[in-house]
Amino acid sequence: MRLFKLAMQQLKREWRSGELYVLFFAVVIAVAAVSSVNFFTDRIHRALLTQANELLGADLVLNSDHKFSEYYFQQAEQLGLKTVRQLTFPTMVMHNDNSQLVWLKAVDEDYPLRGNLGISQTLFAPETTVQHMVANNKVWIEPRLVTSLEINPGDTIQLGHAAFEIDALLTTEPGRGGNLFNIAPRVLLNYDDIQKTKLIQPGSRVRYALLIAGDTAALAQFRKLVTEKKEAGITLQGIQDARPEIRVALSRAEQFLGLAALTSLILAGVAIALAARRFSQRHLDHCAIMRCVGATQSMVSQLFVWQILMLGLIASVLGTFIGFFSHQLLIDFLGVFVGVALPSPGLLPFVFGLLTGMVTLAGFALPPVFALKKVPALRVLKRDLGALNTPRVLTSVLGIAALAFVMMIQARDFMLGVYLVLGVLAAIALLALLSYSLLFIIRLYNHKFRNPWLFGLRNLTRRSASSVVQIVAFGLGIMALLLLTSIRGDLLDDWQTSIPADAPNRFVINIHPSQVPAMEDFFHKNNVPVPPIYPMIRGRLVALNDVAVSADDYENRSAKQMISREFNLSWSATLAEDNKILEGEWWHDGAKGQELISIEESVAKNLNIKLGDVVKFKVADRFFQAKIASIREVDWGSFRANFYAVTNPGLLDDFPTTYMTPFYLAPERYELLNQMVKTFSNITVIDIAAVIGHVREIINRVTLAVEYVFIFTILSGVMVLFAGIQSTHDERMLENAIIRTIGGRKKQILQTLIAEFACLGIFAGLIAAIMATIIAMLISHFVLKMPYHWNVESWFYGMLGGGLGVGLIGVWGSSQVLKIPPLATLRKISVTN
Amino acid sequence: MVEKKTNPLLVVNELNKNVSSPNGQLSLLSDINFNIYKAESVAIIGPSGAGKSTLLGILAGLDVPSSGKVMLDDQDIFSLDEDGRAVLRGKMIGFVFQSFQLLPSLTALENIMLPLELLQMKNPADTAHQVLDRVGLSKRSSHYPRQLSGGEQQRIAIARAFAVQPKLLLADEPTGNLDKKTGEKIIDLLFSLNEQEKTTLILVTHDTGLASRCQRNFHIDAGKFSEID
Repeated sequence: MRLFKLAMQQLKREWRSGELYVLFFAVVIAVAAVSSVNFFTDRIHRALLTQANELLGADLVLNSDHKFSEYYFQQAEQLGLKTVRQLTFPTMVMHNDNSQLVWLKAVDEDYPLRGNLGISQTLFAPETTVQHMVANNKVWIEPRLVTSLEINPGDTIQLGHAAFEIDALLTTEPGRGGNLFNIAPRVLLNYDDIQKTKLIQPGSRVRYALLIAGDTAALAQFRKLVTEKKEAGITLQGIQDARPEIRVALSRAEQFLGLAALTSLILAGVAIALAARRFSQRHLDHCAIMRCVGATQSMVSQLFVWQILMLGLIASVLGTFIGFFSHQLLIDFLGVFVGVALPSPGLLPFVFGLLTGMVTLAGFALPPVFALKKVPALRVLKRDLGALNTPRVLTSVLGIAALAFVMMIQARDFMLGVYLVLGVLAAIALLALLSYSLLFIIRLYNHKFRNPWLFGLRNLTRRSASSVVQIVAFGLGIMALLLLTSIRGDLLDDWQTSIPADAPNRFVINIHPSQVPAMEDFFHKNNVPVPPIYPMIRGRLVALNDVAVSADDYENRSAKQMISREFNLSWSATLAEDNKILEGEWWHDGAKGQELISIEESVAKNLNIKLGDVVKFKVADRFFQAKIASIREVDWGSFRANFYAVTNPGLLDDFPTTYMTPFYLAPERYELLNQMVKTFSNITVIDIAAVIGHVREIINRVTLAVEYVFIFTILSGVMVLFAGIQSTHDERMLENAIIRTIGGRKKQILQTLIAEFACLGIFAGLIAAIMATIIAMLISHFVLKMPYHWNVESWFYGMLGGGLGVGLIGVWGSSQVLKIPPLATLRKISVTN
Repeated sequence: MVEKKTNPLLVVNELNKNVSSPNGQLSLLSDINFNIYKAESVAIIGPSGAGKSTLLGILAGLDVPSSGKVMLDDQDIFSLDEDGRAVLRGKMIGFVFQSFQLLPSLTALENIMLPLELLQMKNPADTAHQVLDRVGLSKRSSHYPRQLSGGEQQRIAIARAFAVQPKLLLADEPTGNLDKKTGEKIIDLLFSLNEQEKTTLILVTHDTGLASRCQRNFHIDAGKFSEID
């Protein structure tokens, strides 16, 4: 206990000397980065878990792409469960001559079974929580429709063939409020009113849902019945898996955020290792004297270990608090995705923050500190004894093991943790290789550097190991920021501009077959080139070569999804311009009467379908079979209408069909859309630009959030820089004292310092820009499938930012070299030596 | 007053120290025998490289002889392990070094407190203040070594050595890094405190003038040891 007290006293003294600042703040920054992400993800997970009922509006939801049979209602009634029917689909709403795409939701009277609805009478008015649904012949609308259509409660809107009075503004709806995934505003109406709109036709894309609530046992029983029935096209959502689209999106965001935080952790580990090594080296005499005046090896060990551990604990606590306060920014960026108020965070992120800091510190700092106990007391008489001989490899291995441990827990997935560790190490290795290569080239010209400005370059090559560490440390952070900025800006801009100017910017769906000639006439009369109008039939693949197929037959997630949901089928006499036959051949006129189908290559690959196979589809209550005549490659980036499965003409004539068409409409002709919706009240018009804008906003928010966390990486890089400066401090002090003694001026030394650190930063920026460009090129080619345009500005900003930032910080950190008189420096180093 | 003959504090018996060298075994200390009594002041003189510091290191238990025995207050110090010798040093031996060996991150007072804290003595600060006062540096208690002159640093080192009231004080060239005038003051202080505390003093030096202030002188050269009458 007394030894602990003594250790704490020594810690206070060490803190005063400034020796521990780098160690301390490296831990603070790393823990803050990891904690801010963990607090954010903890609150999201808790919201999804504890408020899942509210997200669902029920305890259990059955989702289907077709109407439910009576079976489910009967079973639910028998089990004493409450049910609410729900259907949703996109459609157009009209007011006067204006139209707007909305997401219509029709539900029974008892909605919601869980959570509440909130309404108000005017924009920004206080909300009233209600327990009842909107009355018949009335609707509740999302507030943004007020401005887009210039309507208010009391006005009338047209939905299909029916008119409805706007009763109130819908401000709260279970699982919706502010959800960024909803492109179109909500209109809520009573289930009984849907029929009179005549919006639902055979083949319409409608999502059916059955909301269920009741006691746990009955729910479990119902779930079991549904699972055993295994009806195709029906999926269950309980509170454990509510809103899968949110969960998947947030899971991805978490992975990126986690990666950013872990990068910061790695750099902090490097800073801690450098600082701890220096700390131990600077305490060799301290230990020898302590051994001389009576301290045992165990006492020496305990004294330093307690100091390091207590320092780590205080730093971890501080880092966790900073993470707690700063995670709010992540909530601001990404919380809108969830759509419910986020609960307070639990204790787990706090505990994990402490664990992260302590484990990282222990892994990197304890090996050199432990070595101090071996310093012989004889060092007081023989200074050459007792040099620190902890193998750097040991420190590196233990440090990496500590990091790997933290990463595995952070990733919550062993293999993902392994990939993250390997990925980041690979990036570091590449950056290090580039750095060494650069320094090697400069070293070839060292002998030509005679100017103080160029002495700085020479110093970089003389201390190449330290220089490489610092270039890599900053390079990682700058690379991430450049890449994310590129994704948000250039890559998406390039992708957008790569879309031809006259590519379709509107999609019209739900055109009734009888409306096709009138639709063509409409385009013609309004001097718009008549676009192709495609038939669309919704069907599910149920058998392959007479063997029934289900999602259970496939391991691959994409394959499972393809089997679980309905395909958009079509028929065509001719091969689409942007399609290419890979296998087989397209049918000719003579194919009439045959049953042939052409499928897209990813479907063939995922579902293991080959040329000549016979596939069976179910459309509504009927079936058809067709032989695979060809496998196609589709250019999905063309913005033209394309289908995964296309049959020869005639095969699907008797199946329920709607029609769709993509077309280009010049901005000055947009009022035509209102006329179109007025003329064809059942159609839905989708604005592609709005969809793209929406997607960009999601990407913007996610990349901003990830960038924010990478700022911690930059700060960790600063710690590595300070640690590097500290580790070469005595060497610099002596060099510069000697230079000044033999005639060098302060100005010359300052020039050398500026040049050294500015070049360090410029090199870091250059290498970061190279890596970011390579990764952006890969994304352009493999993900966006478009040529990459090199952005020279990013190289400029990377090098400028690096040069300025590192230059300023480095010179400031080394400024003591200029302040202390040369003689004092020489005496000081003589005394400590 | 020296308690001669009856009660030696330090007994050195058949002490040898050899080291390996490219030319075979090198003898640093050869067959050394002597006794030192309580409250004696002893100088060990010899040229550079004679083995003075090697001998001092062994007497302090910092180094291990190749053969021989060292008894300190009837304790065979090499029958203890390294930690045991450290504890013994803490209780019984004070050190004053040529290069002062103060810890740069500790203030003057904290440097003096260090051995007291390691021995877990009560009120180390009070004791340290008293000793600091005795060396005349009370006003510099919160100063760091870099803020002190060489002479002041050595006075702090002397204060640290005497703080634990050691039975044996070992001083290795205590004025080696000081100018003559300062050195003389330091030596005066050292001897004054030694007289007051009745500590046994062993002083390693190449300065014959300094050696003459001690009651006994030993000479060492190329590992051979003898007393000078």
